[in-house]
Amino acid sequence: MTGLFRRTFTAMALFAMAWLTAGACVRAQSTEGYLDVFYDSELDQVFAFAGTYPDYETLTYYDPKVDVSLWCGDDICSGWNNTVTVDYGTYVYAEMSWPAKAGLTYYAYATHSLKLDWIAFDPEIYSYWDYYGYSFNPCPPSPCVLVEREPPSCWWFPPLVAVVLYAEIIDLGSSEAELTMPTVSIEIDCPPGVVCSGPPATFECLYTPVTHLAETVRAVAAPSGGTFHWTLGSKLLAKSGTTGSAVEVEGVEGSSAPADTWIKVTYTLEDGSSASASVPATVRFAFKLRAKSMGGVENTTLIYSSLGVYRGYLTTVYYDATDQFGENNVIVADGPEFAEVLSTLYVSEPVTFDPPDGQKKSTRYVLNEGGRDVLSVTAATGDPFPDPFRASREQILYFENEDFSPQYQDYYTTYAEVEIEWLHTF
Amino acid sequence: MFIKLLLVLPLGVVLAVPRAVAAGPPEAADLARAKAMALQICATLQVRAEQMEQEGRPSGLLRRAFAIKAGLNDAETQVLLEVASRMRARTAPLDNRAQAIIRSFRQKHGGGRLPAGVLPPPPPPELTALQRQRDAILEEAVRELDFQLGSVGLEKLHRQISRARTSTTGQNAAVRTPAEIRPLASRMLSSSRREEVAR
Repeated sequence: MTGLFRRTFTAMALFAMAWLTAGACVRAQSTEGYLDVFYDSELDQVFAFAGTYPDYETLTYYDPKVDVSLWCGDDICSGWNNTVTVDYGTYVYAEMSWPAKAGLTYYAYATHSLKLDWIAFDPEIYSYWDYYGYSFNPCPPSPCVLVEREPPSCWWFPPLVAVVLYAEIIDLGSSEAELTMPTVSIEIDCPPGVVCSGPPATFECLYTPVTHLAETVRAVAAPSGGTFHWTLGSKLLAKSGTTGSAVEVEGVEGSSAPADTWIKVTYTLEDGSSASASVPATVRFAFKLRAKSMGGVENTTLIYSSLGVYRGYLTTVYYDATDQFGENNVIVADGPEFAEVLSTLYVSEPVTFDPPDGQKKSTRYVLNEGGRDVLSVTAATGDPFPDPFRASREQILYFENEDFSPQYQDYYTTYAEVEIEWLHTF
Repeated sequence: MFIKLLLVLPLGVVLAVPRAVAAGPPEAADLARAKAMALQICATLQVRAEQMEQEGRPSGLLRRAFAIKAGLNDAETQVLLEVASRMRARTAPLDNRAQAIIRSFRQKHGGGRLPAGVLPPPPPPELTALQRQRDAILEEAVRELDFQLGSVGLEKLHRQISRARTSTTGQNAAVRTPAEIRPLASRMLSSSRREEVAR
């Protein structure tokens, strides 16, 4: 049975027209039918509706009928008795709805018919004829088999033969319609600057008041051929168009709580059926920088000339950026700019600092490392490094152009160190 | 006997003029008729949506269902629904009048139960006149739609109609003509039987 339905339910939608009889008037005595199935995105339901529309002359002799059923794939969605049928006097309408499920194909099936209301009995041939020449035999005297779900009527006809007569149903035919609900999902491929968690994945992007880091999210949908429409919650802005399969999203305001905004995509096919997917989103920003080491001898490399003369040193300090939600929420990202500007407060002997005062030096904040700062000091050209040596420099660190509270660097003869572990935004 | 032969005659005419829905793009007349049907569908959905709302049930996008299937944009949908609404306002009184006439006509003729040998009477002439009026209103509505919808909207509507009609071919024809409803063989059998009884 279901296989038969599968084979026959191939049409998208149809108009059905029938001329019950021809004659002098072409338009007279005609009946039309219609069936369709559509997705109601407001109610998230698949809706099948059908109607049978006779003209006035047909209506004089016949009552229109229509039945509709809705199939969810191979199974009937809601049983046979859940159709809502409404008789509007000059036409009849039937509907059935069912919750939509992504990826499922729905089949609607309708039968259109007319119930004959004018009958005459011809005793000569023991048959009934209607006005248009359709004839049918009465069913035998009691007991009579109920062949239609119509209430039987009883009449006495000459020559006083008792018969039970059932209303004749003229089957105008059937109509079919089909609707496949599409599927869509959002893919976050964790590009640089984005931290994914899940499933379900949470879109995260970094933001600073100066720089918005845009990231791309993609939708995967089926069947193909539909249109995409992206919508974004507050704090997010589409940097690219919102009607492609991918969209570039940037944060324009930091989240006040994790996942306090969202990204949604709606995929719509030509027939109006659609599917949506959304992911929560968080706009993070670097709220504090933490020096993972303070420098010192263990993080210092001494520099000697080829003749073995001590020339200076490089002390490395690594920083983690943590977000607005706590000191444990380290931002793991690859690529944000990490920069510094220094000014010397005191120096005991002339030396060369890198970078020199007032000159911004940029590197990249990278995965598994964070921000790296190298405190570099060497002797003036040709000279050995002074011993003893003492200097102090003020440093301003920048994460994507967001500046942090000053850090102070202390330089000694064979190493340097920083004074403050936690730096914060203003 | 002559009267009985008259009963058979219309069927012969029908056989000579098969009217199965054809595949392929509809011709202009069929297209106009299909658009009239589309307007009637929209009007029906409007009536149904209003009814649901009166019952306190959400009607969702039911009013726009046909427009959604045709892929009309908001402006085009608005035009379609307004034309359908105006058409409905004009046809509703005719439908009410026709219903009253038919009801009265049936009551006058025994509710359609006829004595032996008595044929159903022809339809009341005023119904034919009403039908002509109704057809004219539909034709006007279609012209209004053609005028207001714009070429892009019309193309979408025609595409939907063509797609629908193309699918009603062969064995899956949605509604059959009299020739298909009652196969020739069975009618010939009836005819032979009639002649046999007459002899």
